[in-house]
Amino acid sequence: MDFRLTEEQEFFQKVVAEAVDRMVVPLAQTIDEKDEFPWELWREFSSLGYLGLRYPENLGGMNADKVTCMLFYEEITRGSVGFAQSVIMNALMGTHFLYRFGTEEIKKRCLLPAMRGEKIATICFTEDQSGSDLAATRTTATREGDAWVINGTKMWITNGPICDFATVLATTEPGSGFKGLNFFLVEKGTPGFSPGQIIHKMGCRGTVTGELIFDSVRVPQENLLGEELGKGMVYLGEILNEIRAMTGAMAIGISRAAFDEGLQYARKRVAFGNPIGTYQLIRAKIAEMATEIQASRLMVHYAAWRIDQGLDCRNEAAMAKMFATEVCLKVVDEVTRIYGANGFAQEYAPQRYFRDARFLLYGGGTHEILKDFLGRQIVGKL
Amino acid sequence: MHIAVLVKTVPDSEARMEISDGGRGLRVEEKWELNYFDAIAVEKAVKIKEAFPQVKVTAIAYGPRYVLEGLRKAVAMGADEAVHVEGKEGSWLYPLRAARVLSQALRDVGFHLILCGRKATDDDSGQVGPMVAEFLGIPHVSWASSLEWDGGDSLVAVRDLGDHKEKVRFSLPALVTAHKGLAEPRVPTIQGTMRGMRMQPRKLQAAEEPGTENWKLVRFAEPPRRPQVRIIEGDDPRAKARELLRILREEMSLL
Repeated sequence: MDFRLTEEQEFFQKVVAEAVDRMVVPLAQTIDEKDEFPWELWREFSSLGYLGLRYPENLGGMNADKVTCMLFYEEITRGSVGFAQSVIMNALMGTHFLYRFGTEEIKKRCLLPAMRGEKIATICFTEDQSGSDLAATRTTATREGDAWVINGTKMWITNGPICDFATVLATTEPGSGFKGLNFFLVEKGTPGFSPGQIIHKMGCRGTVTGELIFDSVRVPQENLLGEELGKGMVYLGEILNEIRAMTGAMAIGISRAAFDEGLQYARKRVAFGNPIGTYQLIRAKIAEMATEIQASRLMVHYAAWRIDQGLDCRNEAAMAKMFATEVCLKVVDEVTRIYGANGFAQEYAPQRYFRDARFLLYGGGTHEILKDFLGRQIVGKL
Repeated sequence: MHIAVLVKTVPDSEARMEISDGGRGLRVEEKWELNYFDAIAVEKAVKIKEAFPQVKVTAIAYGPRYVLEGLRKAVAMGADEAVHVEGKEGSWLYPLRAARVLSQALRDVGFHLILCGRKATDDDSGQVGPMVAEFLGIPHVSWASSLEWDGGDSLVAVRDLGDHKEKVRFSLPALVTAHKGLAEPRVPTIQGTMRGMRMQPRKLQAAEEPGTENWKLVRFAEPPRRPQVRIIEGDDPRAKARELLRILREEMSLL
């Protein structure tokens, strides 16, 4: 048993942390205040190539193991959650199915530019009537000759309004639940494909989130991202654990950013003649937060390690996502308490972490869904 | 053209340090980084390489295993090769010994130009670069904030000496110590980072260098505490005033 990161992983984490400290952290507050996609930072950061970290080297990626990917997700989120959401969308969910099933031409046209940050990617699951309940997806894809025609509206799409292409979940057999679900590639400029309203969020500002409308969008057969029709959910299952572990890593990133702020404040802020970090109740908060962040990281890295080993980790990934998120929600709350009234002020960072952390409750599965899943898994069939 | 860059790995600026054994020892948290001034030297070497593709850059470090951190960073930034001169525990602490060992390694590795930081941020000694040049019998230019090479036999450097600057032209081979302004160390790309992660340095063994313990450690002591002086940076008077208010209210509890 070896819980250490390898020297190589430690080096990677350090390099990424330095990049985040230099490029992202100084802009985080402004990104949140402006709530605009930070194009200049995007171009500067993506030129370093980290958006391709999980793809093969011959494509310009790094072929990174999943633990290394978690280090990346944690660090970039520590810098700015709003920015991290867009980065991770391009690096993972928004490009995975193109890498798995895209033709060489699709890879050349969409995947490679997305790895370089020249194109913005997204994936579309959620609709107004379905989020966790994917079987209720109402967006349809109908075969017409050698093409597919897509109709429907997607909601809560990260990068949606600014995306250059989207991986779209649609049913080819309405009413047949999971069995009819498939993924399709739709590119910007395709007639009938347009952005809808932008959703203004309480947190993760800077990421542009909104609706995507598909009105008789015609795409060729090669845009069906899957070898076999009706296997969309099976293909999604291939990266669901990674998405959940990644969400856990993002939770650790927010926790760390908030914790570091709280710790510095506890060391500096003087009350009754002493830094508040000398008082037991503040120390208890610091101790509990540090302990729980450590536990979160062990769970997330364990889940990622199991993916790397090819082991089943449906439970471990769900547990890691849920635990790291709940810890994060506690940490961001405790840090606002350490800050006292200043934790309520817009000019200080804790309120930003407090708002940002809420998205973790939905990304990667709500905790109600995850608890139900885990409960069924653990109790077994009765 | 072969540029050798001397790189020292120093405790990370956030590493915890604790004086132990009544002042005789120093416990340093195992967090390391490439010395800031050496990173500037690496950046300058890589910039020259990018302008003149025939240039080769070799990073050289002396010390125990942890110096691989600095070598990895140098390779990630663009150095072509890395050389690790392995030394006995503690032996690298003496600048005279480090200079002797490194000059020997440099004879082995070969060079036209040697770059290194003007000092290391851990011991602040600033002796190694000039001593290496002396042992190799080559000229050195210290505190360079600018260095120009047009591909010919000579280079032009500007030495930033605080109250004045000095422009010098010199021939190769030579050693230059890097000061702020010479270059801004880059953030490595993913390809560079991978090269750093996979780096396999050439290993050399440091020769015994008796009589090179040119300083004696008496004791470690914390610097005397002094009242904090803080300068609020920025161009916007309103923002500066807001920051002042924040400090008075939040950190000093005076409001």
